[in-house]
Amino acid sequence: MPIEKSGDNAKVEFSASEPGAPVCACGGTAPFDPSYVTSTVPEDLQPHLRGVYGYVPKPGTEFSKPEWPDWTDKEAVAKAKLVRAEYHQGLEDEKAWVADMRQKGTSDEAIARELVDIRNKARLSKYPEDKLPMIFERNQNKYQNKYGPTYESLLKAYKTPDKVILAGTRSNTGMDVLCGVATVVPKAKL
Amino acid sequence: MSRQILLQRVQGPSEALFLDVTNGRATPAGVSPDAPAHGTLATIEGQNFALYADQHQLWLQWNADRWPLVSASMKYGHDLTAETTTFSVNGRAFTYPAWWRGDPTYEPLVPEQDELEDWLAYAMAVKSDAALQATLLEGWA
Repeated sequence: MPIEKSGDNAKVEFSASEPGAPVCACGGTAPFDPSYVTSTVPEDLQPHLRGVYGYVPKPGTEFSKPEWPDWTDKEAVAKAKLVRAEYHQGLEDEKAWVADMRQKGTSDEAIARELVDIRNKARLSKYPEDKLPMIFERNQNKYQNKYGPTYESLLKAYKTPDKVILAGTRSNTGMDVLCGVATVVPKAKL
Repeated sequence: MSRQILLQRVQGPSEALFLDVTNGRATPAGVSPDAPAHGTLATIEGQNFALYADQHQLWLQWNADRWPLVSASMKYGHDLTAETTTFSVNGRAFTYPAWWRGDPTYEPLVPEQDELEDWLAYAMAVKSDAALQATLLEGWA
């Protein structure tokens, strides 16, 4: 189990790896298809024939800005889809790990504490070694913990351990529709 | 007439603060940072933002102004070139340095990471999650 013992952040040590390493360090290996269906069109998107997956951002919304991929360019969207697929793989690994821990009778508080450490470790593993001092300093100032947010600080914001667990498992449906990870199918057709 | 609400700062120095809801000023409460509070507060570029339970509903406060969270019209987005973030509520906008400025690992195609790094993205997440709103309303009552 590639997980550091939680509860004493000061003893957790991290080693840097290349950017682009897996998002989650939960250890999942099962084949995974990230695609899913949504019954509603995200409010910041509109149907468009030139959209690679049938939608483009509405003018003036976040993903319509020129710095984002051209959502009518197959190659650009294919690259973006790879990033989203990797993100969803990380989510899936994390969900599977949480389910396994719950099945073993581990409390949500213990799971959430460990998960916060896992997320911090996964995030730090993406930094090249020479950037770690910078991120440690930033984290120390922001979270009073050089490795990242603490369970205690997240509990203040989310109030319950299960909400701390859920906080890192959201999906931006608009982004997923643009990249073809999510498909819009109206409820009547489901 | 001033009215104060006890809040917790969740980013930066851990502390409990009294927010005067009439003028948006926050002052140290002089109690434990872990004392039961009615919400959280963040100071971003000198602006006080707070999310708290009051009168049986959640409120978003920005300095002296506040809005019921459920009816507030909120937007959040990054300018990837300028490395800034703009948050707006009911047409009032605030632009500030993006949390990922100078971060070589930032991946804009994963906007979900904003929530854990930027308090205003967290406020957006609360706004979009009715179940979380109910939990916070109960926990911060």
